[in-house]
Amino acid sequence: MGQSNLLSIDGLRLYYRSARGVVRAVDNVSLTMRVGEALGIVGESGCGKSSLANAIIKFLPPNTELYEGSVVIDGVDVVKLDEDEVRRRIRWRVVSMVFQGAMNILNPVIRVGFQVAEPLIVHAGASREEAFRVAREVMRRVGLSDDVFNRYPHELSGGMKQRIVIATALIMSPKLVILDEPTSALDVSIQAQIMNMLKRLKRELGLSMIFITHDIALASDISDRIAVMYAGEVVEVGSAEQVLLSPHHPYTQKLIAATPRLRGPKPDFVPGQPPDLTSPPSGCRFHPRCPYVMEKCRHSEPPSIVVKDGWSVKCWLYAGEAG
Amino acid sequence: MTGLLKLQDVKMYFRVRKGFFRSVDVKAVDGVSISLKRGETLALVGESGSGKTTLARVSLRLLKPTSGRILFDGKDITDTPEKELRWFRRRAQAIFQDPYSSLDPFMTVRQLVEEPLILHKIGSVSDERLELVVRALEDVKLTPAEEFLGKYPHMLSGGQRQRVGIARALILKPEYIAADEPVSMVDASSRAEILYLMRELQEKHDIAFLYITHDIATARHFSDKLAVMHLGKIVEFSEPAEIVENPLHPYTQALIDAVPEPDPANRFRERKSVMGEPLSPANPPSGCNFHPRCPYAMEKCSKQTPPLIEIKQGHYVACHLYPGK
Ligand SMILES: Nc1ncnc2c1ncn2[C@@H]1O[C@H](COP(=O)(O)OP(=O)(O)OP(=O)(O)O)[C@@H](O)[C@H]1O
Ligand SMILES: Nc1ncnc2c1ncn2[C@@H]1O[C@H](COP(=O)(O)OP(=O)(O)OP(=O)(O)O)[C@@H](O)[C@H]1O
Ligand code: SF4
Ligand code: SF4
Ligand SMILES: [Mg+2]
Ligand SMILES: [Mg+2]
Repeated sequence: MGQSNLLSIDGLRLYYRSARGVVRAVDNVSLTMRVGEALGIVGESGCGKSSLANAIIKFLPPNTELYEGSVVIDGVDVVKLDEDEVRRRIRWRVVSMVFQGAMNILNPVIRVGFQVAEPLIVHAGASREEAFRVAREVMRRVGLSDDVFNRYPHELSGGMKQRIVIATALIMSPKLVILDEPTSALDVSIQAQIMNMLKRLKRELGLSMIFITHDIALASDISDRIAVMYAGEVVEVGSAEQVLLSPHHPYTQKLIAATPRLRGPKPDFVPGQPPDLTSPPSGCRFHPRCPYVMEKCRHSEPPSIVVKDGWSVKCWLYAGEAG
Repeated sequence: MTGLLKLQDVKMYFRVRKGFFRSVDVKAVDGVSISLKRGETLALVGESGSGKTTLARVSLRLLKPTSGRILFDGKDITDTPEKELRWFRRRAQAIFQDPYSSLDPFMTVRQLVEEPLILHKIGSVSDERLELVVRALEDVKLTPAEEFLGKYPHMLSGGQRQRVGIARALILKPEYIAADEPVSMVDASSRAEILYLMRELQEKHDIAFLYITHDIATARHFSDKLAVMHLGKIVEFSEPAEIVENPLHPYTQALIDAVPEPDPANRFRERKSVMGEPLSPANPPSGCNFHPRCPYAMEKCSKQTPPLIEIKQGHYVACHLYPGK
């Protein structure tokens, strides 16, 4: 397609220390993303989606046990940078993030327009006037009227607060925005409005984004490509068409079948419980819940099998077919 | 199926202060009538703030309505003093949205499920109660029950916690359960499992369910009747298949259009949605209170409140687009 890679992640791991042992939250993840693309990351609660996002911007908690692999953004490997360099060179200006639940932690005593403008003043040394001007412009872009600038968070609805948080992430014109469950606390109609706004931003600004959600239907609303995570690993990745229309991994198939549809059969579900990431199941991590489990699934880890260019699946069912 | 719970023209207004001298009425529920039969599930669907939880709380007589009547098994319990409601407290139960905050983190699964028995003085000895607890855990498929008895809520997944919540509601063998967003905090991939379980238990024990949700897609599959609520009022009511195939109210139509399905073509089109932000029940618009957001609003919509009328057999709608016969 002639587009260049914006992001390439290779062999990324992020483990935490915990009382129960080492949590393997992100375990050998490799992904690439092109400029202008939206990559959806889907998977059940606790599978490591937010951890992957944090690993991409090297936002690590103090109990990090292991952080390795590479995350090359815009030609720079974030894993190798020290904290100071990440802050100066990467966060906000190259990659910004809308954290899960961020709309609930807006500062209650600061006017929202100031909060949107703040990164420009703090990280880019812009003057207040300049920062406010840009903030007003970005707020307009995300569908907020001018009078919202001087309001406080409690004077805004959930949907408006989420727009504020998104505006803040856009203020330094980053190349990539990571959105972690940006609409999960909102009503469907407000969710639809926010998704439409994100689609417009993508179209008009050519914005690249990583969209994280546990809801694969919601992911389909924006994603060009979809990566399905299970127990710290990416088990299938491909174009939205490939993953949604011919899901190969049994977990992807279950996730899609679990979506309640208005018209069509009753939803299915993924049986059993999510695994404990301090001691994930041996072999294929999905094997205790997989309807197609075979003997070798229990003890040997399946390789990542390329189905087609850009589409791969980590499952023994396809080991024979690879070309 | 016989009638069990009836709410008649229930209004629940909350008086809230606005500034020093003024107070306003928040019309959280504004003239709702519903009835539920044994073994039947009524889904109550609507956006945040539409009054679903308030209506559920009224149905459990946790709130005394501003006006209207609550009838349970033929008895009017609207004004019955609390001390005379013990029988009702046992026969009507609730399941809450948030399994994380509705379970005491310092109690074990056994203690949590046993607690209602102790409160209602059921089972004189501990062994007798333990047997009931084990049976309730088996009912909600937390098996082998022995493995779960000693666990604390933090050791359970979201879905397992919600099962504990269901076991707690179930152990008193209630006839009516109000389930307020029982799966919205459960992982999307496990929601259907919990809903199937509730359905199974309902059939087994002939329980009437009020299933509150903002998700019309699960309501479609897991209810017998569906009521759409908007700003304190029921705007449409029918069987779920009929509502989904043939939605009449513009608000229902918008709710249906807004549901995403996993389709790769979605990203190339805008999703339809209701215009603007949800309205406030503290200051509801005149006439049809949906009119500021309605694409079909007419002159009379801001002046007259449309009544809920039967347009077709068993299909009710409150909208001036359907003047009735
Ligand atoms: N700072 C931490 N210390 C120890 N364990 C952690 C930490 N942060 C997350 N975890 C654990 O790592 C795993 C992955 O968590 P993560 O938050 O990345 O999942 P997620 O997919 O974003 O889940 P959700 O959908 O619930 O947001 C979980 O088991 C979680 O409990
Ligand atoms: N005790 C109260 N005092 C004042 N206002 C209240 C009270 N309880 C509820 N309300 C208001 O009544 C309206 C309906 O609230 P309710 O919680 O019933 O809505 P809901 O449909 O359950 O919403 P959600 O989907 O967010 O749970 C809201 O505007 C709410 O702020
Ligand atoms: S590798 Fe085996 S257990 Fe794992 S998903 Fe494939 S078939 Fe199922
Ligand atoms: S009564 Fe009027 S405003 Fe209300 S839903 Fe019907 S057409 Fe729309
Ligand atoms: Mg997360
Ligand atoms: Mg509620």
